[in-house]
Amino acid sequence: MAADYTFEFGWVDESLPIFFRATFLTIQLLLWSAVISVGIGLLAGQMLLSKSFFIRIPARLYVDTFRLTPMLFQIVVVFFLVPILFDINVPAFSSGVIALSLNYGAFFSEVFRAGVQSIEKGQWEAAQSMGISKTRTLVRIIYPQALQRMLPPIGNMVISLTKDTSLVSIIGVAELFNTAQNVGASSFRQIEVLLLVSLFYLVINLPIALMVERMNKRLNDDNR
Amino acid sequence: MTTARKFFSEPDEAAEGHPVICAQDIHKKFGNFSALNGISLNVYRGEVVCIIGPSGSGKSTLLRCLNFLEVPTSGTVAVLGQQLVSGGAGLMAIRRNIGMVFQQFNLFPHMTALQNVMEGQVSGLGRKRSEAREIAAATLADVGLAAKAEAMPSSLSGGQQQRVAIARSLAMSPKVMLFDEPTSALDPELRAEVLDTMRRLALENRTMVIVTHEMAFAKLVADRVVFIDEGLIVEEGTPAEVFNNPSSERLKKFLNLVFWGERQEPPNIESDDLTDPPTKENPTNG
Repeated sequence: MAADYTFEFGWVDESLPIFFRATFLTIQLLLWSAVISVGIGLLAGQMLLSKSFFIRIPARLYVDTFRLTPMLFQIVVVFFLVPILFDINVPAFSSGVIALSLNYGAFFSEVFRAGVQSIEKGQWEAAQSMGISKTRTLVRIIYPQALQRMLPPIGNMVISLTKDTSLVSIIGVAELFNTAQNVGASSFRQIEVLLLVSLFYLVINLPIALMVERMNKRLNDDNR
Repeated sequence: MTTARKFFSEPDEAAEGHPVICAQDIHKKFGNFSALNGISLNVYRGEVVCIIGPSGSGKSTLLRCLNFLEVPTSGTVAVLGQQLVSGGAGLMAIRRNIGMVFQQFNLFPHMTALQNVMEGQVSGLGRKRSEAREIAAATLADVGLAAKAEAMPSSLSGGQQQRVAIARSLAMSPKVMLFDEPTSALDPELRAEVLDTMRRLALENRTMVIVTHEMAFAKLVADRVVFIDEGLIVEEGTPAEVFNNPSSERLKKFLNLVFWGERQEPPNIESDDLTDPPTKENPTNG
């Protein structure tokens, strides 16, 4: 049966501009979600470390809700729920960014919490004994050290965020996967289209993977 | 600039006659375990107080209560007449007057020696970076590490790291310095450089509180030796009084064990609530 199938790429020339537009949208989804989810992660991660019950518990609830339910489900729910709750029209793209950010923010907050907790207590004590404020201690002393330990998981999460942007296709954002399905349906060349699109994802993620690798190496060298 | 060189110059304007540190009736409990059972301690300006005692006696806990790294369960601590209160900006401000040197150094591993000595000055005291750099370089030179300013802590020996830590604390011109077993994590041959740095500080009339197991050092530099056991001050006095004429049984027993190596005869242990002391046959005991 394999012999019966002829691969046919005649549609590529014509569809290439659509795919470039879709790639641009995927990258936009990726950048917005990455920045916002890191922001949420920093905040929620810090809240998870709070001694106060009233700060820690809401953060824990948020994190577990988004960590333990399917992201596809979250994307759909946010898409329908946000307009109802806030009585505003949210474009599918923004809705996708919100869902991705909330989900990845939950995971990032656990990474940041663990990173901060992994720093020896003595570092805090040295800073405290010099009368350095808590925020400044975090920024100047704790996070620079924690970052080195957190970089591999953060890098891997950004890479997997690239891939997970494809889930947003379900609410009709014309990113790569959504576009692939449309072009596949109209050209009747599903397999070829998907093969091409997988290359696009590879091209987006490869530089990120290399960058993480390099940052990792530099940080390791610095602390020798 | 005169303010740039407070190192080894006399600490100024601590109120005359007023103790620099006034700790009253300090109790500290960790869960059910009671580490301190009511300790009062005054430290006066220019005084060097050495705290000795068996491990687990509460001496480190007491020291950490003096700058509220441990908050006492009850009792009060006042530094330069200001009472310490847990949390808030007031405590931070008072801590800037209290230097602390730790057993494990606690240098910031991602910063050079110079940056380590600058950090507290900039982030704690709010000094300008240029001024802080100048003071840091001078302070490092004073502890004999001018050549290591650009070194990362991980490339320094333990003794050098501890001297950087002392410089880091000194650069903030503290009114009193706390030392928490500063040589306990060091190999024997590296202790001398740290002890000598501390001895020089003591000679400069710095106010210092030192928790230590270095009895010879305590004899040499202390104005007052405080012996603590089971969370209480058992005995205190001049080094001569404490080391040569101990009055309590507990201190006698402690000194007997500590100085066993300097005697001809092995120590005389009459009670068996202590673990076996080291002997020639089995030198790792104790």
